[in-house]
Amino acid sequence: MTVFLQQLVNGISLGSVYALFAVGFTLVFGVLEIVNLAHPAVLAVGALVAYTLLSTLGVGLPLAIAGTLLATGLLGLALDAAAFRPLRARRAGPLASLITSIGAALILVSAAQRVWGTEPLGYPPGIVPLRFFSAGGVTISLLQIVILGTVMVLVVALRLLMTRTRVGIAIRAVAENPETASLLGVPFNRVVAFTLFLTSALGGVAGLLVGMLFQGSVSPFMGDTYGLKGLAAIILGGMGDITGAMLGGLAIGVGEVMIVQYLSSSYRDAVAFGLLFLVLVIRPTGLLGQQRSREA
Amino acid sequence: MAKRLLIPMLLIALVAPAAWGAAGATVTVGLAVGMTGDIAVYGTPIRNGMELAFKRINDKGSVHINPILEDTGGGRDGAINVFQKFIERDRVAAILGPVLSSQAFASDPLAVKAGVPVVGVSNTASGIPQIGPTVFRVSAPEAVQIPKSVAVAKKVLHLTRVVVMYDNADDFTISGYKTFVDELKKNEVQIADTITFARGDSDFSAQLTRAKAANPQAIVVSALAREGTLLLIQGRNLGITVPFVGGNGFNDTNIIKRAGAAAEGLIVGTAWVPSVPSAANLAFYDAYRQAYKQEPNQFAAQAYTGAQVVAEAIRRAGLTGTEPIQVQREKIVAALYTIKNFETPLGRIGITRDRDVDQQRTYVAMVRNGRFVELEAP
Amino acid sequence: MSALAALYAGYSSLILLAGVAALLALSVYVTLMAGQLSLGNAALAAIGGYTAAILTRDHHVPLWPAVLAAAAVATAAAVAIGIPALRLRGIYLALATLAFGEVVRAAALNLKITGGALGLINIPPLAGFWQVYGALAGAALFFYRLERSRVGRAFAAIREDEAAARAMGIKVTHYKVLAFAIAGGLAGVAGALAAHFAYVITPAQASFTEAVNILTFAVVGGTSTFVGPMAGGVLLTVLPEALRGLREERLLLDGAILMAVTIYCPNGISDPRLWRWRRARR
Repeated sequence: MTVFLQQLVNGISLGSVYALFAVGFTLVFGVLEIVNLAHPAVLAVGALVAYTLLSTLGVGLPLAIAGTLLATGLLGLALDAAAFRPLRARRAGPLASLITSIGAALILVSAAQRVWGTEPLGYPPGIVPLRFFSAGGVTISLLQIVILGTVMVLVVALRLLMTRTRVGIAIRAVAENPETASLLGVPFNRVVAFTLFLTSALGGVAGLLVGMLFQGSVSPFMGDTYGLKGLAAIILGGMGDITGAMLGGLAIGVGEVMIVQYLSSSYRDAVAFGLLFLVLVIRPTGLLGQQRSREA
Repeated sequence: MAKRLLIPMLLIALVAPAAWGAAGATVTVGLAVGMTGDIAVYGTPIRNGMELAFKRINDKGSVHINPILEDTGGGRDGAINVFQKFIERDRVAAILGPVLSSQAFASDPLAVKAGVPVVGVSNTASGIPQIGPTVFRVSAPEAVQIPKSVAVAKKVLHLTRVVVMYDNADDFTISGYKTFVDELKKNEVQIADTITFARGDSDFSAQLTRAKAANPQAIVVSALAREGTLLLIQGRNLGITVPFVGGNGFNDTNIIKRAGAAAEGLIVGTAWVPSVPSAANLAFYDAYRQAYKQEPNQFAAQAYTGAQVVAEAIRRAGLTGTEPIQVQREKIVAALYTIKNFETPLGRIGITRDRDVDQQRTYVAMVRNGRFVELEAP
Repeated sequence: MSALAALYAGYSSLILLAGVAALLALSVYVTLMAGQLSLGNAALAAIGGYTAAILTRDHHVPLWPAVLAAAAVATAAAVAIGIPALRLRGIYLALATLAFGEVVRAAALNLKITGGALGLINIPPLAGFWQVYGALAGAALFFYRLERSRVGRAFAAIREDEAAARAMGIKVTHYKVLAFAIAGGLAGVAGALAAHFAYVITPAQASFTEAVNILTFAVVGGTSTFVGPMAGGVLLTVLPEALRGLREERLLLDGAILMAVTIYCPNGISDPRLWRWRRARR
């Protein structure tokens, strides 16, 4: 039982980062109906920018988070302008966007390789002191608490943004129905650009958090792992659904950890993706989503 | 300074007549090294080691070798393409590389078919020389190193109960895992749990929590450098204090650099430690530090050795580079078999009848105060 | 040795890889013809590759029967996932096929018969130029006929407007499964041939990266006729090798080409208009 609770703690802290990352996938999908495969590369760039801030410039964690948010947010704007906007102008299908986003990802990764090199990097030790809190045999580290706290703050902020601000409401309107939104005078291109700013900023911070959680794993190639997990999370949670993506992320995080504990990590991917396939086939809207039909 | 120049100059004076005869002609050797992508961690020191060796050998002037370097990346297609380029287009006399055992299984058969000698410098999985009659290696297989690490670790740590973790997505780490299990059984150490992960994973908290729950005296790991580093750091972050015993993948000073305090107490079997007591090693160590402004590691030392062995075979075969390419290749293969008791940074090594390395001495090292220190059984 | 033979000796693995890439691109193309996006073709190719390799290596079956068996097994797998998955549309189908690919990869990694992470090594080198390009020529001929057949027109109708196609009395599901089956067969053949000149097959064959590569071949080449995917497969295989001199820039160039082609020639490099326009200017 202790081991179970301990793994639950691990799974939740892992899942919370997946959730933050998956929100980016799902929001872009909601607005543009495309899967942005450059999102994992943005996560890697975020982690690397944070490396420069934390190690080279030696700034503190709050400032590093703010800097990463801004840097990857701007990267998102550039991504929209270079990869997605020209295709929108031409009314190209989602397939074309999928491919340009792959192209953009390759460019980002190779540029990152140029700037930061290929060797895995680690943040300087002691950003978050190595401290443990135990209760009933279950240990939680200060690091895990900081990560959960950061994710929670960002999620609440996102929630407020989406429900209380004009731009948030505009995003939801576009996601609901682009034609109607456009008739109502919502500036589509600006809403999309802002969505990419927002999602990339969150993706970048997810990169920073992953970099702290898994010390020494920061490299231009780190996005690959999270790309598949993020996709899994949004399939599970219902595509385009923010709450769903978060719960999906948490579920994947906890699920992975439990499979490793009670089965074998060899089966982790097989079980996870087998379930996903079943979810898609049996309940195409995801376990939590309901707003749109995926059926033909 | 003057003294340093004296010996090379004497050497040049001695061999100059021979060198004149072969003026212009050189023997071409292909270096198949992965230098882009995550493999660069190994590829960079390997390339450095090879290039340094050829530079020093050419400076000496007893043979003239033209090394061509190509990037294989970390995959098999890349290795196959580079091998084909070397064999058919560049018409090289011998090939050094590729970096990973998994690549060697894909690319070496091409060389076997064409009769081109291949010398692996970092392939430690079992079955590499068995690929074919032109495939050699100078990297001591895990099967040789691991028994020693297990025996020494058992004595030093009084082991009776361990957890074994391994990467089940890589040929080399699987082969290391199997050897570890055999040796642990032989030494009557109980394996409390076996836990897997996969090359490319970043999160080991679940595996490490499970390992911790089994309450072992040590955690035995077969992993590549990247995953190994992450395991050490995350283990520390989860409050694991028992030592790790690693395979060859841990054998890298970069691990210490990255894992910092978390690497303390790590035990590895290794083909090379900085303190190998040989003149060849001293020369290599100094030259490497001077050329690249950093410490060499085991991979650099093995790569340097591989280049030395190939150059020695070329010298023994008496090749000038003017012979038909097929003759050069055959003669190098034949000469490689004659290498015995040969002075290298790894100490004295030889090539066995099965084309494997015969390294007289391998080492067990432990990380203490941020350095690999040779560990002797009490 | 003639110049041609010398060229082949120097570049045979590249030439063979290009042929296989063209076959794989065609297998994605056939589902795209019917308006379906599949990311499972790499896994289907892996299934074919493993099947054929086990037959030739362990049971000494000759190449062609093994390739046929590979095609049959891959087709069966494609139909088995196709029937439930084809209820899904667009990106959802893509994700379902992606999940299928990951299951295949994980299975290959864990099963004994597939050799785990090591994969199968020492596969007999039975496939050469004539086998690969013979298969490709056969596939090209098949597509030439298919595009002009009733089936081809039905595919096009489904792609343009599924509801309308259904209203016209086209058995939509039937044709979709057919497209998947053909894709499976082609991918199976491609995977089987690839295994017999690469000497090895590993779980990475079924990876997401591989699936995306195959899709990229088709899209960069253009999906208006079968010539496009073939051209895309060949070009994108040869290009990185031709650009070897620009080693450091390889990824960057790959990315830039992908973006430039999708943005500036939306119908791929084989778009007839693109070439007509060039000629007109001359």
